[in-house]
Parts: sequence; C-alpha cells; structure tokens
Amino acid sequence: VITLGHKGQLYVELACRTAHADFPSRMTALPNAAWRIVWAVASLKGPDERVRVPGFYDGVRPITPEAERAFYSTLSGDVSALRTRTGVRAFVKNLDGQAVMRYTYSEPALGLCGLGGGYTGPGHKLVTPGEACARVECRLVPDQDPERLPGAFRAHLDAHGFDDVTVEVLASNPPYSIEPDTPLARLVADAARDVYGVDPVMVPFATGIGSRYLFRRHTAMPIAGFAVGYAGSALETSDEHIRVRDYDEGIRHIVAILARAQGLPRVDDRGAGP
Amino acid sequence: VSAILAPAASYIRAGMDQWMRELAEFCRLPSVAEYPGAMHAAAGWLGRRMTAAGLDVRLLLPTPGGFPTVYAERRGRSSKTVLFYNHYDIAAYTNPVSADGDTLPVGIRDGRFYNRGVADDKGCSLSRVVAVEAMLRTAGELPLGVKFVSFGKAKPNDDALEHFLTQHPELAACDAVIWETGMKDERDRPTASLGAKGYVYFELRGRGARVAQPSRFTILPNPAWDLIWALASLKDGSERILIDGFYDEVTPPTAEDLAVVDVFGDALGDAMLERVGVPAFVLGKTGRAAARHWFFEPSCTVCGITGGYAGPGERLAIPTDVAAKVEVRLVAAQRPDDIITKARAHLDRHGFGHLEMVVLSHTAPYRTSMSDPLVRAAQRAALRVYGQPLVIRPTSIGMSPKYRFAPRPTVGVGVEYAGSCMEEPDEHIRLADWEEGARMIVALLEEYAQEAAT
Repeated sequence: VITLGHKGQLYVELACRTAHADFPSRMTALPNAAWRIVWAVASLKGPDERVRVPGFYDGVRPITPEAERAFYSTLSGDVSALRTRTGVRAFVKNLDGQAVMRYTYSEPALGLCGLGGGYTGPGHKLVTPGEACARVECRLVPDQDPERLPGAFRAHLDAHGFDDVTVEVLASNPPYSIEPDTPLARLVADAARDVYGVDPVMVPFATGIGSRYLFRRHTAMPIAGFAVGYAGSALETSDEHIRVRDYDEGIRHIVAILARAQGLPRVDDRGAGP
Repeated sequence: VSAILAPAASYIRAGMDQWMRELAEFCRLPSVAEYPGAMHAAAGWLGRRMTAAGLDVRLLLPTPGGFPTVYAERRGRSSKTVLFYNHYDIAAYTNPVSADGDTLPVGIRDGRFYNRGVADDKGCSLSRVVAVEAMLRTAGELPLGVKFVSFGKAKPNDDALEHFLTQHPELAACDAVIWETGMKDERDRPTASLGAKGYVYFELRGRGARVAQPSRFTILPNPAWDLIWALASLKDGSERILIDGFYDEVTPPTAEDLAVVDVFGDALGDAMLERVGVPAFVLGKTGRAAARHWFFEPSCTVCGITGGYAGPGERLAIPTDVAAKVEVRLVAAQRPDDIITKARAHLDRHGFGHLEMVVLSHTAPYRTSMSDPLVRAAQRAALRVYGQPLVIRPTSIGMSPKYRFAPRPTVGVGVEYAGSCMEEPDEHIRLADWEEGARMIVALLEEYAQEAAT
C-alpha cells in the first residue's frame, strides 16, 4: 500500500462544570455536569455517523474520477481479518466489504476517546457529578482545516444551548495528500511493480496522523509513504508485529525507488508549497 | 386536653442535665460495624435505658448483620399501637467514622451537643425513650401502646428491617410508624416527612474491541458513542424521562400536597444554590416550581460516566470498556421492578440491546396520605409544642425503607436542624431542639390516641 498523504486531526476536550464538587444526588432539581456532557456530545453526531457541526465537512475533497480509478476501485473488500482480530460485531453504519475501506479512505470521522465524571468506582454512590468531560477526536481528510473547527464546535454548542460546555484544543494537525498522477506517486508505484510484481494499492492518505503537512508548509516537495507492515500487524497492541518477508521486500522497494529517482523532476525546495 | 403533655414536659425539663449525661454515654460509643464491640455495647446500653424507662425489652438475634435489633414495648390505655423506628448504628454513607481509641468525642457547649452520630440518630432515639418515660412517671400509663425497634445496621443496605418484619411479624404489628429524623428547616420551623422516594440504580456497560484499537480505525464501532446515545435516549434537556410508560404509575400530588411543598418552595432559594455552588435550578426553575419539581418529579441522574482515557494529555484509542452509573429516583407509586423492565425494553427498542444493564440496588417509594389521622395528630402536636405549624413534606427527597410498613402511615419527626452537619466532623444538635423533640413525641402520642378514639 502506498499512501499519498495522511489524515489530519483535531483533538479537543469538552468539559462542563456545574458545581464546586460532586453533590448528593437527592438534590434532583440541580443541574448535572454529566448530563450536560452527554447531551452536548450526542448533539455532535448520531448513530448515522454524520457529524452535525455546521462547517465540519468544509474542504472535503470530492472523489474525482481520477481518484476513483487510482484509489477506490482497487481497495480490498476483505475485512474478515479486521473483524476477527478486533472482535467487533459490526463496523460503523453496518458497512461491510469494500465499503469499509472506502469509508476509511474518504470520510472524516468524529471519535470519542474518553469520558469521565462523577463516581466510577465499584458499587454505587449517590452523587450528581459537579464536573464531567469528554475527549473528542476529529479525523480529518484533505482539505479540511483543523484551525477552523474549534470555532465551528463553539458555534454549534452555543446554538444548542451548551454555552456552559468548554472546548479546549489538545492537539491539531492538518491533513495532507498529493494527487495520484504526481511524478513521485507514479515513480513509487512503478518501483513497487518492479519488486512485488503486482499493481500496488494506492490510497490517498494513511489513516494515522503525521507530520507531512510540515514539509508542505515549508517546502514544495511531494511526499509518498509506504512501509513494511501488513493488514494484520495489530498496531499499538501487545501483538504488534511485521513479517520478515515484508521487511525484505520493503528494503528492495527503497532500492528500486532510488534506482528510478534520477528521472524525477527537481523541486525548488526553497519555495513553500501551496 | 393537655392533661398529659404539661406534667411530662416538666419532667423532661427538670431532667435535662441527666438526659444529656446519658446521651453522652450513648454517643461516646463508636457504634459502626468496624467497632463490633461498640455496636454490642450500644445495643446493650439502649436496652438497659429502655428497661429503666419502664419498657419490656428484648435484644433480637440473630440478625443479618450480626448485631442485635433492640425491641421494646409497653401497652397503653388504647389498643392502638405506635411503632418508633430508629437505629443505634452511626450513619456512615458518605464519611467513615474514626474513633479516638474506642471512644467518640462528645462536646456540650453553647447549647449544642457535638458528636458524630448524635443527629443521625442517637439524639432522636433517646428523646423518644425519655418522652415515654416522662409519660409513665407523670401519668402512670400511656394513652396508647408503643413499640420501639432500633437496628444496628452493619452496612447501608443491611436487610435488618426486612429480617425483622419477616421473622417477627407479631412484634412489627402496629397501627402507625413514627420514623427517625425530622429537622427544623432553615427558618427554624419544625418539619415532618410523610414518605420517601424510591430508586433504581443501575450500571450501563458497553464493550468494544477485545484490545484497545487506535482511534485511526474510524470504521470500528465505539462503545463510548453507544453509551452517549443510549443515555441521551433516556432523558433530554427538558428533564423529561423518555422511557415508554415511565410516568404511568406516578401519583399526582394533591392540592394539599402541593400547598405544603409550596411552603417549602417559598424558602427555597439562593442560600442552597450558593452552598452547592450552582447558579440555578434545572430548567431555570425557582421557588415553588423548583420545589415541586424536586419533590414530585421522578428523576434520572447520571452519577458517573467513564470510558477510555480522560487523564492528562491525549491518548488516541477507541475505548474498550465504558460504563455509566444511572440513578432513577422514583416517586409514589412507581414500582422498581416495573421501571427496570421498561428501561431494559427501552434500550432494546432503541438499538442498544448490546449494552448491559446491571441493577445494583433499588427500593420502592412511599407516601402517607396528608389526610391520615397520624398526620393530623402531628400537626396539632406541633402547634402545641412549637407554637407554629408543622412544615409537612409529603415525601423526603431521599430513600428509606418506609414502604416496608405500607399501608401503615409513617411520619418522621426528630431533634436535628438544618445546620446539624450530619456525617460531618461538626455534627451536632441543639439542646433546645432535643427537649422540644421529646415533648413533640409526648404530644403526638396524646393527639394520636384521641384521633384513634374518635
């Protein structure tokens, strides 16, 4: 798989404080920070996965016929390994087959990485949380702009009556992607054919976040990515691994690219990119 | 009419120094389960004090928690019988009790009696024994029969009462119950509670992937979202609970119920908000509207929510285990088992069948009718003792096992006040309130005997 970019990210904490501290739950006429967070977060996205924050989808590149041909038509539809490995009962929106990969490589998403508030120990305690928080993560695709999103969240929360819910940005990274017909993309793909003997799978961006956008900010150099892992690498779990044969092939891919690199046009690396 | 009250009140007044010395003995015992010796000593002390008052006493064993239930009785002129409900263990729901050696400190100063446990519930317990003693010493008999039952609970949800009611139905038989506690409010008015709320406390649990997966796998289902959506489906911003049929069995408050809670509502205001540090009541309600909401509306509270990572910094993972603790507080005459069934059905119908709902605890609500003779007796007694109307609360805002005595009427009256700092280091009662509380018991028994006779 050759990645021509990476996703962007905006990681925010939504927090609400309604009282000095947690207080006895028998005071049922007083506001509850956990409910405020539940309702505020629920207002952001429903089970249809569609993000309801106005402006969230601004800048998302439409899928062009070129992108369809270069990327999406070639995506694998075999998701059984992912299902088995994670043990999930279904994917979001009940997607299956190639739609799973198409979603992964085209849709921005709103994730929820953490929730906290009130009493969460064993047994029961009759308290109303005085504060609560949620960690919300936007995974962005080109060319969404993470700098504009905190304002969009703020406006959405205010419009829904959640002016007591704060938005704090913990991390922000823009997405990045080059077009499939750039010389670098073509060269890396050709080199892959030399080594692997098959057409490589090109994807518009890696699903993870990265720092490629910094190169774009400071230079005009295009970036493509590929590595030595495979679909079953179980990233970031205790079983993370690679296959030795993939590693060998990865090295030969680098060699093949360098061998073909003389054909690349020179980029003025002092000029900033778009 | 006051053939009984006046001499009994003099008896109580004359002995105040002695009653406070006795109360100090009782209160020095750190009677919580962590000090089993003190629990047994407190039961023994209370039993001996009841015997001295002229009651027939039995320490009932075995009990579920291992500590005796102190039972006492005395017949009266009328065949009617009133049962006093109390406990000799010290309430420790929020703050544990720590004794200095094997003794709890007692301080009597500025007309106040300081001790952890004196407000809940030892002061109230002794006031009732002294009240009955005063009637026996001054009138030679009681106008009606009395029973005392005082529990030594080993833990908050001890089923000592359940055990007593099933094992000793003949001892539990009575016409009315005088419950523990009934404080003077912020304006120093005597209050009495006629019932309690119930609740269902459950945990809603969701599970995602076997091992936490990076959040870049945006295609994977996220149990934290499911939990958020499931909770949001239970109640919306209007505070209306959205479970089908949830309100079906709610007894609407009567005009009389509303009128008495309005009295409370008129005193409900900024002082309470400031104490908790909250700017406003829910839905912007104030005064009477806030009080009506508080007392008569069933509620749904998220007591805790957890999932994934919410500590410092960022962690990019999809939560694997998420959970919310949910308390549904019930009003008369909702039934816990009915609400549990409806909540589960609601979750299933809204696509949250995969979320686990584990009920951790539940009790039923209960409300005594405002027009019950016991309530009328308490109102007249208060006018005589306090010189002002009793502020009636048709229900307390907390839970209690009052419903176990249904359909008998229960009224809670006591000796503490709004500033008693229950379960806090400064827990105390005022001596004057204690004395009035003892007189209130005398007047209440006298008035109820007359109600029963008519």
